[in-house]
Amino acid sequence: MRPDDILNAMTDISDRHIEQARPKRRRARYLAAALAAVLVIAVALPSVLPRMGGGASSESGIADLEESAPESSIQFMSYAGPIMPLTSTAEGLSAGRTVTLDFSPWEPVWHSIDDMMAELPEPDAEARAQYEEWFPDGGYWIESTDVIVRDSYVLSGAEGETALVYPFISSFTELAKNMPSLTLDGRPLYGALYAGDLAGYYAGDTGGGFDYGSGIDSWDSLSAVLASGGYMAAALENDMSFAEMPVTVYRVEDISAPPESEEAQNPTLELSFTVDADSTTVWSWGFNGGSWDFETGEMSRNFSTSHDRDGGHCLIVIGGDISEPDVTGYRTGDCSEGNELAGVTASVTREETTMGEILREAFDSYMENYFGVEYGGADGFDRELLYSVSLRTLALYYETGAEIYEDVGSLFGAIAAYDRVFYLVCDVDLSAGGVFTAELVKEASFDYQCAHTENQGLSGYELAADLGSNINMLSLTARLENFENCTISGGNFGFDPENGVFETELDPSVDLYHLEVRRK
Amino acid sequence: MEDRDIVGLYFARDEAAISESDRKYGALCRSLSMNILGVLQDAEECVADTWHRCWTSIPPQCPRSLRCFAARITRNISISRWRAARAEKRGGGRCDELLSELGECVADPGGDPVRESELRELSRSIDSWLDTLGETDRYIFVRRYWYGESVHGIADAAGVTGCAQRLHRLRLKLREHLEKEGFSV
Repeated sequence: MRPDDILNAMTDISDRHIEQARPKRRRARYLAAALAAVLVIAVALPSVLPRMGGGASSESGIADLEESAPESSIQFMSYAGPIMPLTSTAEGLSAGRTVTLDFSPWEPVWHSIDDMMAELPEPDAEARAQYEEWFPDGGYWIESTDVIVRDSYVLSGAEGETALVYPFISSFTELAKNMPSLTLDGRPLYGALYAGDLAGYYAGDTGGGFDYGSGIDSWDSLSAVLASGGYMAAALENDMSFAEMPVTVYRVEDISAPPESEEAQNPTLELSFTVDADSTTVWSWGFNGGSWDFETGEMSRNFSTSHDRDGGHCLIVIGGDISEPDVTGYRTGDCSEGNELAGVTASVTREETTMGEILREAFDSYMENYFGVEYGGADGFDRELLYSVSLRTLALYYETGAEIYEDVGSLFGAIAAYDRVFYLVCDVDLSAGGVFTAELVKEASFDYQCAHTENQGLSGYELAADLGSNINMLSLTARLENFENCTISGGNFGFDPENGVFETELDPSVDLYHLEVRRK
Repeated sequence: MEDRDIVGLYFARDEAAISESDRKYGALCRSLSMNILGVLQDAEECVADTWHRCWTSIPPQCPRSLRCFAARITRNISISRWRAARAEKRGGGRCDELLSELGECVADPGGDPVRESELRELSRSIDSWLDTLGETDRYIFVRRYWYGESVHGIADAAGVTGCAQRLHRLRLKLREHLEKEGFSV
């Protein structure tokens, strides 16, 4: 046996070991960051924090959540997260909560060829002929597994003006669908929207750093993210001080290069320079690739001149500085000796600015060039909030020393696509009490159809009874509506539609209720 | 975009599957490949190859975890590329370091390689051995020998001191385990 064999054999260890060893964070730094955020928020929202993530009877939120994880709930491959509870800035607020799960979206909807044609920007006879070939029945049935949730609270016990905070899970790109609509005593309520960071920074319990890929993929991970209250505090604080950081920018302009040809199939411009990695961080915007020799400090960044997109090409240098960059042309993306191409020129200018200035430019360019096309400018998409969250995310990258190997611009899209917890905050006067209702569409958790697991065809929904709310829940009632197309496969709500039990009284001290449903 | 949607794009043969995969897991795969290869451009190419491999294997495969599926492919491609680079006496990365350390798990690092048919069994044995470790030890070992992370980085992330010594003890434990399982170490 050789060491190689062990390295090879390691490749095929179980997914669970690979998943469990995802980067974690340094406790000290994590707690310091959370504490700093808590201190700031504590001034503005003095009573939100004491029970964030904790049960009513314990000072240790983390311990409570670990103990309360419901063993019987199913770990789905695609996790939609629970319906989360309202919280508040007010001391002593109490509520009777009623949650209605309306399964009317499960009613199949016929999507005709006429409907499809109406969705096309340029419908023509060719498109119709194609649809008619694909759908000889004239269309197809759409079967959704979404539910409409009405999460209602009869509130009492507040004095004067209070901020109600309603959390929900979504990505930026799915906000249009997932954004709750709020009412107080039947009147529309408009809240300010705040966004939590990517879950990776908060989910670990031992380490530092920043796990870019760590998401909200289970009740356990969600509980861990929200355990200390730092996540919500950072969301509401929305600290953008990273924008003030001074940076040096090297901008590539006046680019000239030969066109693509047999000899130069993909003319490429490379900037090469040296950097002291101990004191200096280099991020790039508008490049396709690069290299870095750790020992010599030689670094390069390159981009294709023939597939150039609109927008800039900049090096963003933080901390120290780099040597003056050299410009070299190459026949292809292989920027190695012997592959050089004459006639590739550009001017490289150096300027001193702030992180906020250059990231704003990169962000606007990215949004203009990519986002509108990719996501169709979805309604409810808050670009300014995405910018601030992007800035915060990059600040976490920088502060935790995480290395960014990809273009800064492409990170914006990733930041927009990840699930996170959003918070809608509304200032209301509850002196005389009131009925607060959030109505939202909730997707189901499920296993992929092609996975052939025992959960195939099963849709899961969760209701978090506590999960950080500081409102004293006096009662918790759950109702099912429009359940004709469904049958219950599991859960702990106590529903029994076969015997007419569509409403149950639940124990508000149980952390999580779950319901698994199949289509009839 | 959720994994289910990305996998759905692969099944629908929609090329957006690749851009969405890269958007979601590109950074993880680049980081993993960089740990092994140490050259950004090579890592970029490995990640591009990863998406191509995903494209040709989904379907029929339907990964339970797209993250692990993609990362595993990246690791394989990166190690292969590192081997090719080593044969040409070039390249950097951390693989030499890892192999030197894993030499402690075997009696003769220059001995005969295990047969292809035994590799799966070796994998299974290491997997079951990992199950016997405490959470922190398992985390440290997998971060080092699966993700190829630096000892300093792991110590920092796991919040432990003496990480190198701990890894040394774990390697000896693994050797002992493999001997007990009947492998010719």
